[in-house]
Amino acid sequence: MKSTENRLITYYRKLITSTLLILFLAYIVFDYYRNEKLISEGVSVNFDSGFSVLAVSILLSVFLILKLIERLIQTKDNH
Amino acid sequence: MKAPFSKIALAVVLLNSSIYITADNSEDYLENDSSYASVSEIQSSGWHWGVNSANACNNAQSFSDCIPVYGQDPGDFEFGFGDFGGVGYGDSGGGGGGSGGDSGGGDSSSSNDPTKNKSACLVQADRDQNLCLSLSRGTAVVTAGVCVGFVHPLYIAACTAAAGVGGIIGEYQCNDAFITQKSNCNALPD
Repeated sequence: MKSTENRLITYYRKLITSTLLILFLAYIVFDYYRNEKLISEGVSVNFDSGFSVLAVSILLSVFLILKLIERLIQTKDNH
Repeated sequence: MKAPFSKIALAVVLLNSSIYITADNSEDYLENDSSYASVSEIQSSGWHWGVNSANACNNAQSFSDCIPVYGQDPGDFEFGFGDFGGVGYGDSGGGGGGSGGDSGGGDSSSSNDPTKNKSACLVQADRDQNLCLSLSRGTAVVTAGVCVGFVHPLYIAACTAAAGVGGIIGEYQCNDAFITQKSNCNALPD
């Protein structure tokens, strides 16, 4: 049976990873429309690269840290 | 019970979508009329993930002589421009017809046509690159989001790594197509 602490950290893990996911997607959409606007205005756009790797790395790191905390709490509860 | 297989299926579909299908090399269209006509086929099947462009190079001597074709079916496209010495390919490209351009080109109504005008072509290249990068990034991020939904840590690691690699390949393909497109644009008259 999961303790309250454990349930809370599971809840926060899901909340934080979902929020990050939504933020990244929102940034992608925002960046797309911002670039479109700049292109329409005739401004030369510098497309940054490497966002995919950065976003995936952040998402995975945050997820793993929270998952680790969850497991630690679970182990503590079992003892 | 969770449904891991549906998640795996979804992740695989998303990942595959993030890796661009390598289109035939543009040089292939230098060969003959049938290769040239296949530009139409490539466009209808999608070119670099919605970046709707192809290079028409029928009888051209080098790649820089090729005509980039954007967002229209070559069947309705008149391939006759000054760069090609007034040779019209309207009918050999697979159906001919109807768009109104003539051999030798150069009428004032085409000043914003990205296939004829260098600056319009460069703007179109920027637009295509913007769309391409956004789709690539979006797919990689969504795939990673699905990946963290797995239960087994090994699946999570493998799936996320694949999403990351898919993202890298996607961006690389976008940049590659962008460079080719820009070099084609630079070959056009100002």
